[in-house]
Amino acid sequence: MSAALDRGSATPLPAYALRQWRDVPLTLGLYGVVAVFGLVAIPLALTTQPMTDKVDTVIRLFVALCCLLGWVKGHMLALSLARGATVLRQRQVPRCLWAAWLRVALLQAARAWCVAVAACIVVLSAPEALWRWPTAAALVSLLMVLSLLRTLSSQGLLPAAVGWVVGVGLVAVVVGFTATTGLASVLDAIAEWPLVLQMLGLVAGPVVALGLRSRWVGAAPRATRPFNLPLAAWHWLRREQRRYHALNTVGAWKQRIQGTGGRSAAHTAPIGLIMFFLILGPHFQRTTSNWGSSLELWHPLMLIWMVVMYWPNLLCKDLHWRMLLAPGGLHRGRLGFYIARSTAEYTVIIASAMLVVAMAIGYLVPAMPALDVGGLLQRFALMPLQLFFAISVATLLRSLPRAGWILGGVIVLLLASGAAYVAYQPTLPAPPEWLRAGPGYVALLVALSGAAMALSNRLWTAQKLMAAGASAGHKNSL
Amino acid sequence: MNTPSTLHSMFPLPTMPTPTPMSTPAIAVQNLTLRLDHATILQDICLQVPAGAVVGLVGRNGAGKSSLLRCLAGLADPSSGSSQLLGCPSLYLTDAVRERLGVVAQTPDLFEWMEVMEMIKTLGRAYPRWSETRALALAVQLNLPVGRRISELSGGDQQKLSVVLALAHNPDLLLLDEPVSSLDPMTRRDFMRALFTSPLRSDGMDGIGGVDACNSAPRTVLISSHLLSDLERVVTHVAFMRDGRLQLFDTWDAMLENLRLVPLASIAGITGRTPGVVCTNAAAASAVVDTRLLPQYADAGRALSLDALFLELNA
Repeated sequence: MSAALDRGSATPLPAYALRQWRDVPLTLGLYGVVAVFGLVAIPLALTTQPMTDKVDTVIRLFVALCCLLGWVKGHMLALSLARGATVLRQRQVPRCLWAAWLRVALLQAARAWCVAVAACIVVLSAPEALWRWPTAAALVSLLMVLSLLRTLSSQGLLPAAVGWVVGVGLVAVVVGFTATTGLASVLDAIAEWPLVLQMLGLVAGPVVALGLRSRWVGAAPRATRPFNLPLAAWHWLRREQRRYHALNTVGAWKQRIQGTGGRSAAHTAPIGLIMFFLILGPHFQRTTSNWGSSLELWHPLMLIWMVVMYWPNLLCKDLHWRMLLAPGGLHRGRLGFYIARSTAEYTVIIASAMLVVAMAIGYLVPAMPALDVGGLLQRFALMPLQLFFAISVATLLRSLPRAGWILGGVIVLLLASGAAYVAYQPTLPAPPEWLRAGPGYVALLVALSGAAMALSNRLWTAQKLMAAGASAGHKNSL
Repeated sequence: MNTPSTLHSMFPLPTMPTPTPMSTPAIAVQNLTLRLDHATILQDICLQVPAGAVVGLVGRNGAGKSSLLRCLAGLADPSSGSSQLLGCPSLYLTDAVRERLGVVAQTPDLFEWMEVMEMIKTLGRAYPRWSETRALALAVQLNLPVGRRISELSGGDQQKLSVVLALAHNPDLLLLDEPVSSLDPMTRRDFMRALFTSPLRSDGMDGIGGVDACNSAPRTVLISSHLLSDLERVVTHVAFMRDGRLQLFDTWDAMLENLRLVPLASIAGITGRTPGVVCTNAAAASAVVDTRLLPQYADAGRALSLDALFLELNA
C-alpha cells in the first residue's frame, strides 16, 4: 500500500490547490524579504554610521523579518494541511489525493525554508557579522516548526498538549527576554549555543516535515476538536461584541458610497471607541484631577469634546426587531437609558482591554515606564461619571430632530471655544475656588446626566431606534 | 493538463472498479453503537442494504441519521459494532472502494478559496472514472455557476457542488446526508433525476432504477431527508430511526402492502409488544400492524403513506 501511495503522491496538483491565502498580502512570502532587505539596506548604507553598526542593524532587521515570515509560513502550512485533511477526509476520496496534497504542501514549505535558511546563512557570512553562520537560520527554522506544531495542534491534528507546551514556552521566552535583556537579544542567546545545538535547530524543519510525511502519508489525519481556552475566550468575546450594534452614521455613509447594504457596521464601534481613548489618553490629565483639586476652564471643553466623540459611537445591545416585538423587549419607555447603558458597558470593555494592553506593554517593554494603576485609579476616579455624562448628553442630542445640524453646531461651538481659550489663555483669570472636583461637581454631573436620561427616554422611540440601526447597515437585524 | 485517464496510466492504482457481487450487501452494519460524551447516539444498529437499493433514512431531528451516515462513511469511530461498505470495513476503506463511493455531508466542506471548476478538477484527479464532461453536465443541469469562487456561493449552490462532486465519478454507492435541504423544489427535482440518470452515458442509456449501465453495477443510494414526498417517489427501501435505534427497515413496497393503520378498538387483546404490532398511538387510539404477522387485519383500517407512517412511528 505504501508503494502505491508513494506513486500516488506523484499525482500533480495544480498550483491553485493550496493557495488558501492568495488574497492576503502575506502571500508575498519570503521573496518579499529580499525586497524589504533592499529597502532597508540601501538607506543604511548611505548613512554615516560605522560599518559594523550598519551591518549589525541590517542583519537584525533581516533576521526579524525572516523570523516573522517563517512563523507565518509555518502557520499557513498547518492551515493548508488541516483544511486538506478535513475536506478530503469528509469526502473519503482516494488516498493518493491526500498524499499529493501533503507532498505539495511540504514542498512549498521546504522551498520557503530553503530560501530563508540560505538567506540567513549568506547574511551571517558577512565579515562584519557578530554571529556564526547557522545562528539566525536555526532561529528561523525553529520558529517555523513551532508555528507549524502550534497551529496543527489548534486545528486538532496534533494533541492539544503540543500547542499548550509550544504556546506557553514561547510566551515565557518572549516575556523573559523582554523583561531582562530585550527581545532582540534572543539571537545573542542562540549564538552562545554550541554549534551542534544550532545545527539541530537548523535541521528541525526538515526533520519535522519528514516526520509528518511518514506519519500521515497513508491517510488524511482525523481532526479532533480539543477544548482550546484562548480560542474559546476569543469566540466568546466576538459573540459578546456582536451583540452591540452601532447607531452611527459612518455605516450609513459607507453603505451609500460603497453600496454595501446589509453588512454589519458594528465593527466601526470598537474602532471609534479605541480611537476615542487613544486621542483622549494624552489629555486625560486635563479632563480630570485629583479629588478636591480645582478644575481648569479647559475642563468643560473636554467634556463637550467627549460628547462629540460619543455621538457616532452610540451602541444598542441586542438590537433586533424581535426584541422590539417581545413584551418589554429593549426596555421600551426607557430606550434612552438602554442606549446609554449599552454604550457605557461597551466603553468599560474597551477601556479595560486597553488598560490591560497598556499594563502589559509597560511590563514587557523595559524602555516604557510601568503603569501606575493605583495612581491612575485615584486620578481618574471621576472619569466614569464624566464618561456617563458625555454618553447621556450624546444620547439626548441624537434623539433630537435635526440631530446632524445640532452636532455641527456643537462642533463649531467647540472649535470656537477652543480657539478662544488658546488665544486668551494668558489673560484668563484663575478658576474660581468653588469649581473643584468635589461633591458639588459629582452632584452636578449626576443631576445633568439624570436630566439628559429622563429627556432622552421621552424622545427615543422604537421607530427612531430602528431607523438609526438601519442607517448603520443593520438591515438583517431590523 | 493531465486528464484523469493519463494520470492513472502513470501509477497503477486500482483503476477498474470491482462490481460488488449481488450476494454481498452494499452496506452491512452489525450491532453498531456510538456513544459520545456519555450520551448514546446510536444503539445496536443492524442493517443489510442490498446492492442496487435506494434507501430512505428518515427520523426526527436528533434521531441519529447523520451519526449513522458518518459511521458508515468511516468518519466516526463506533463505540462497538462495525460496518462495511461494498464489503470493506468503513474505518479502513481501500482506494478501490473509495473510488466507487460518493459522499454528500449535511454541511458541505469545500475548499472555499477555489473556484467551482478548480475544485472539480482538483478532486477529479483522484478518480479513474471521473468525467469532467459529466461533472459539467451535472453542474449545468443543477444550474451551478462554475466560474464563481466557492466562498461566494450560496448555501444551496455549495450543496449542489457537493452533489456534483459526489456524482461525477459515477459511484456505485452514494451516502447522502440531507442533500436537498438547501435546494429549491426545481433543483430538488433535477437532483433526484441526476441521482438515477447519468447525463452523458457511454451507451446512451439511462440508469433509471438505480442501475448503472456503464459498468452494469447497480448503484446503491442511502439518502437521509425530511422531504418525505421526494423520498417516496424514489426509494426502494425505507429505514426509520428513532432515539438512536433502527425502528423499522423494509422495502417500501412491502410496507405499502403489509402495514396498515387500524383502530386500537379493533385489535382488543393485542398489546404493543405483540409481534406484528409495529407501534401504537394512544392519543389517536390507533396502531400500525404488519399483516404478514397478523394476517387477520389484512383488510382492516387503511394503508399508510410515508408521511403518515412517519407520524405514527414518531407519535
